Amino acid sequence: MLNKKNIHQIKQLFIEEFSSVKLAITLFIFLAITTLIGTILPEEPMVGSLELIKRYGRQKYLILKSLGLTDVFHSWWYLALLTTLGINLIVASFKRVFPRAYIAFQWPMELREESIKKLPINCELDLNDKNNLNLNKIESSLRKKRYKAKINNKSLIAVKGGWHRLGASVTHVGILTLLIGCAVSTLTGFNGMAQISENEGFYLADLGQSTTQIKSTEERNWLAPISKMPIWLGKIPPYLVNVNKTWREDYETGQPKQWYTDLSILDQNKNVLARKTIHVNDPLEFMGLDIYQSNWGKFAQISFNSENASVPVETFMGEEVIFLPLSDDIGIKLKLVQTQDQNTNQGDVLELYSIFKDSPIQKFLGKVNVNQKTQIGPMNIGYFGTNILTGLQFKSNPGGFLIYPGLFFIICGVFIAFGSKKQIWASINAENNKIIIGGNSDRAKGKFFEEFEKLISELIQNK
Amino acid sequence: MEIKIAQEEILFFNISGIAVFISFWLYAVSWMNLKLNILKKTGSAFLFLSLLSLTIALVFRGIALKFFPLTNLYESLVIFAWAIIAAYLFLEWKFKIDYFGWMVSGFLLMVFLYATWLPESQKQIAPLVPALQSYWRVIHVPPLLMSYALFLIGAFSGAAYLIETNFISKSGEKKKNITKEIKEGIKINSYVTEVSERAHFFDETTYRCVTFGFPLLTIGIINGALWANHAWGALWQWDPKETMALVTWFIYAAYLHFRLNTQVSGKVLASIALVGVVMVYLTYLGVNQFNFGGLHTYGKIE
Repeated sequence: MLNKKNIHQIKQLFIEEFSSVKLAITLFIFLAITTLIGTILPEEPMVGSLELIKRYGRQKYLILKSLGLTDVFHSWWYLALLTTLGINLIVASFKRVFPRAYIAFQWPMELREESIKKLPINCELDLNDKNNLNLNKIESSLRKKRYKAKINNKSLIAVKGGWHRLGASVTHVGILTLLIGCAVSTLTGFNGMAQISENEGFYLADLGQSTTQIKSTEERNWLAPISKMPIWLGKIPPYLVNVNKTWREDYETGQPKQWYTDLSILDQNKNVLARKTIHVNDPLEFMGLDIYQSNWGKFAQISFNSENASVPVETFMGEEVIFLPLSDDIGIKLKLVQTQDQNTNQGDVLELYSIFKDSPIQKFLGKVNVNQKTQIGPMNIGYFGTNILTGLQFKSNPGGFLIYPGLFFIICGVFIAFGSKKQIWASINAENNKIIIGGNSDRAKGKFFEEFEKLISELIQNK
Repeated sequence: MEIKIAQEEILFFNISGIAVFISFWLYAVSWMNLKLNILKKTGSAFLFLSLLSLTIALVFRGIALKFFPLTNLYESLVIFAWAIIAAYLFLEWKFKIDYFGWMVSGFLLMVFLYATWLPESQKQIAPLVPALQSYWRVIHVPPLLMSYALFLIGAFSGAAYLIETNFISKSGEKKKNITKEIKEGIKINSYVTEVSERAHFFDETTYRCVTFGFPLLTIGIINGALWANHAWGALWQWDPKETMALVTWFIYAAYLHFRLNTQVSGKVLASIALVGVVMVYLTYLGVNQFNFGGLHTYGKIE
């Protein structure tokens, strides 16, 4: 029967169970174990399914996959553990941590002579005409040491550094914000990679992947009006990314220094929304979408005994080359040479050399002009020009506005917590001839003892 | 282009190692006979000499590199050793820890030997891969190395606690139930775990180390995420080093939350600290040694 009382009871039970520290500890330990398993076992997103099938055999692989062990960090149970920790954190923060925050600013309770004598550090001083000692003197001395102090009749209370107790609250707020931000990013963000030539483009929707796996093929994306909100909510924006130009800058030695790509982002009506030349570590940022220069490569189209291939061209000792190994000791080096030949369209010629392992000798075999084939011994090598592919990475991180403040608060909380709360009490005894002073510190007791010592020696000096 | 390692650097590194060796023996002898306080103090003095020497060696290396010397496994081990000595001497000075100096210096010797026996390719000064050429290196790595050093000392302290409660003070952990009747029918109960004073001291030391080390670990992980975002465009990629650091973080978070409960057994806490330091080892060196793969394969052991 789900009446009001039962609902209330269930709510109470939920709060009790989910605010418990025991639950937090259990979750920490389970998360530690599962994360460890995920670290040691090879994971599918990293090594690929083929590698896993090779290692375990198909049967075992399928069993492991059904248990989620091939991709631990995206499995439902790992996510469930994290979610439970998140709920635990939220409930515990509001029930236990935040309500105690005000203690940071509270005055300690008044203590009498007998209680002060039981404090970890305490001292008895004589009240006489010689040392001119009174509670006011103690108060002003403590105030100079940046304590908050007040006197109540025959007793004094002082406290310093109570604000350090806020550290835990601030850190918990930070972790909460971080978790929410991560959830937002995971559920509504997307990312992808593209290798594109000059004067070509790609649709984000074709290459991007989001967690919710909804690709936008609609004409208009009503959830994200182009000029307003950068929140895609699982639908990838219908932008076209166009590569206008891409090039590479080299050092004098010929080694690559930096890769550049001139990009435009176009909407459905082919209007240019943004344009920027990016390079590594300098991405294009537009409406929450970031496009990075990730890598860059020059590729030669060659045919080897009628088999076509697109082979990456490396820069090696100032030359642009392709290495083709024929056996363990011998290989062929294809060197890209720019010629001034009027007859060829592209001005590129491929020179072939045979090279030997552990030897600098290279023997010139022949050359291939662009769009031609040459027979060299048993090999037929054709060359059809080069093209350049720029490697771009794009992602959207909608939760960023929560993630960064979250991280900031975590670090702040950590720094705030560095410090102890120190309390000092003093009381004049019943006979009015002694003052009892005592104190306590929640950490760094050694240092507090030294400070207390200094205070007492200051007080007994006739000032 | 190979930059030569300065002779001075090698000299000071060797002085540092020898000083640790001497201090180990001084600590060990003084531990066996606790009345020989002078030996303990001399041991600490040698450890301090070692710290100075190591600092000079690092300065020389930094001058040769023209950058903060933290580019390969060798340098990270040297800075790790530096952090251990610094942390231990600090704790010894502030909190008067003086029981397990021999464990610390013994471990330091192993670090020195390991660093010395690394293959040349891991030790030589070589230009950095583009992804590592960043000021982020100085922000991300040193706090982590410091936290590893603190967790290590905390683990030694935890081990000392277990030895003390299991073997030395035969009383172990006695749980006493004190019941005091103050008025007719009204009883006050108190639940007290009694341990010897030394055991209590070890427990406090472990707690201190974790309280200092845990925030440093947190900051290190967060800085790592920010650097990864700057370099690779993603804050977190479930890379083995990242996840292993997370495991360590979970374990020590469990330790701190356990300690909120005043009734918890000190032995449980000490055991968690020991499990934690195993995770620290896996995070620092294990990921590369056991070839978990991933993006952090800079200090890979061949």
